[in-house]
Amino acid sequence: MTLQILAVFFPAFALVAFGYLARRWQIIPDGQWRGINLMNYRILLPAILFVVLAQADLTGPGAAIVTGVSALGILAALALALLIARLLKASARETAALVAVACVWNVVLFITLADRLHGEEAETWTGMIMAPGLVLATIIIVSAFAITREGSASKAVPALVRDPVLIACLAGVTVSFIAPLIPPVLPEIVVEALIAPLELAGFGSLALVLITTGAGLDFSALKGRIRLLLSAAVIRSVMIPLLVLGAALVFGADAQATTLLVLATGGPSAAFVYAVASEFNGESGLVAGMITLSVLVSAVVLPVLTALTLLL
Amino acid sequence: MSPVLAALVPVFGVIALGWALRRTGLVAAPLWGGINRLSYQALMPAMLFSTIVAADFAALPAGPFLIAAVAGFVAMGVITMGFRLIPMPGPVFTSLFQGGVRWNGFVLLALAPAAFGPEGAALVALVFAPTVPLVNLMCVAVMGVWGASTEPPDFGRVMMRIITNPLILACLAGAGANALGLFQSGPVADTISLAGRAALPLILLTIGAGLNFSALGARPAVLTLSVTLKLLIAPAVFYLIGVLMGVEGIALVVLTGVGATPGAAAAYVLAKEMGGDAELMAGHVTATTILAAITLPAALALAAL
Repeated sequence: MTLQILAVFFPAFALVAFGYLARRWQIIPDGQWRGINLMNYRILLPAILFVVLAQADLTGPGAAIVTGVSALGILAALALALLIARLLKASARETAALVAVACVWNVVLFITLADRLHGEEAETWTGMIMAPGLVLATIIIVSAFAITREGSASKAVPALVRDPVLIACLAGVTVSFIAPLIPPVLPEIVVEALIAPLELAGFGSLALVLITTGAGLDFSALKGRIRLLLSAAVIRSVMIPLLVLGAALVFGADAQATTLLVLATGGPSAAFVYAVASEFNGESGLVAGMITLSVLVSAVVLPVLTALTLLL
Repeated sequence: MSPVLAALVPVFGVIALGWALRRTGLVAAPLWGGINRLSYQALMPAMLFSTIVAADFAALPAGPFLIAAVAGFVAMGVITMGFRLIPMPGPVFTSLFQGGVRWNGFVLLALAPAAFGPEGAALVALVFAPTVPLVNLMCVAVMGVWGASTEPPDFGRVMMRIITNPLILACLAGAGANALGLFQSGPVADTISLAGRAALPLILLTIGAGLNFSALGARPAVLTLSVTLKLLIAPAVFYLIGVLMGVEGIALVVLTGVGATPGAAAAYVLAKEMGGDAELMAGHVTATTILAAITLPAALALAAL
């Protein structure tokens, strides 16, 4: 069991560590990460999300329970983040940061780990788990940062409409729902030709997203506001996966799906949250600290939780 | 659909995507530096290492294949030197020479697993080790004689670049680890393999981003000659040398594929640095990349007959 868990987690976290060292040692100088991040956020991440979601069977057997539990995890994270922010008397901008980090789990890490744990079998569930997580979480975080900057929820709409990740997710979910209902518009060979470059670009670049996650780690941001930092990491990497595990067991989710739900929702937050925070002049320093701590906590807690879930 | 054609669609699709990203400004030209650097310093070496380390060379004759590949590049250098007899400015000739001998192995490497299987892909990866230094030395020597730069070529610097070239080091490390049976499986091998999977998409995107269609109008006669040398003559030369040296089967197809690859962007960089005709070089890389979508699968199909 220990070796199996090591084989699943080591490569992904090793690449996160490599990303951190590549920036720290200036193998890739600071100024050059911008292009890499932009490529991730605008192209590679949307490409992989679209491909996974478009090919997901969101109406298949067990889909309602799995998507429901995944969505519940996001809503629980939102509620917990708002509650703790209130208890800690956090400002609106700090609350937005806490909400964003708590609600978003790292989808790329999830896809990588799911593939390493269950191989192609995992594909049955990955899209179902990702769909609500991505759509709900993206709406929540873009709204949170846009509202605290603009002071009005309606101001968040233009930002949401233009967000490449949300566009890709909605397009993927739409294709997934509509494609089985209508007769094929294009011959299969044309569809494959259109999907294949996105698949190659997106899947091949999982490692790149992990490396940029590492490059974004900022240990100097861990100083100060420790209660907020810890709250974000504990909600993200401890409370939510435990809640999701409980819900999956209560609702009788498939055993493999349960493991994957824990693997997804217990993952650290994503560098993408930092990109959104920066774009909206949010508390990006605080967000960087929260993401860093959530990566550290997840690196320890997630393998343990996954092993426990596999033993259930 | 044949395996080669099925693999060709995503490869050239991603190249087209790279071009569209730069052209539309979604990822503007100055932002590609970091992507290039990460690919070259870390991801491409990881891919070469993991492709070579896991291959079963007992099943394929790597020795004669590599000797034939080296002979192919030397032969192309000699053939291209013959065109010095045609009157043209020195810098233009240097670009013709680079066009004839430089190859973009990554396009072939992207096709290789589907087209040739894992051992064939490992042969493609192995070619990098002897030919990257060979081709660089040939090109720098020609640039030193006929380039517009007044400074003499610094061969010490060139040697240092070769010794510290991450692609060459990765090939040698992969071959060494393969021989010793190290890092063929386990967490370290998995990590390197995961990193390597990001290399091809990124390099294909950067190939696309580097396409420059406005450079196609530069010196149409010389451009036609350099494209003909690269896409028609080179694959025939590599194939013939392979046949003469007894290379056969999938190794002969791979060898022909090495000859049939499009031009590499490194040629443009060297032309800029050492006073070659950079515009002609950009046109050559663009034209050969586009045309290789047709000529490369055709060359592979003919070699497989």
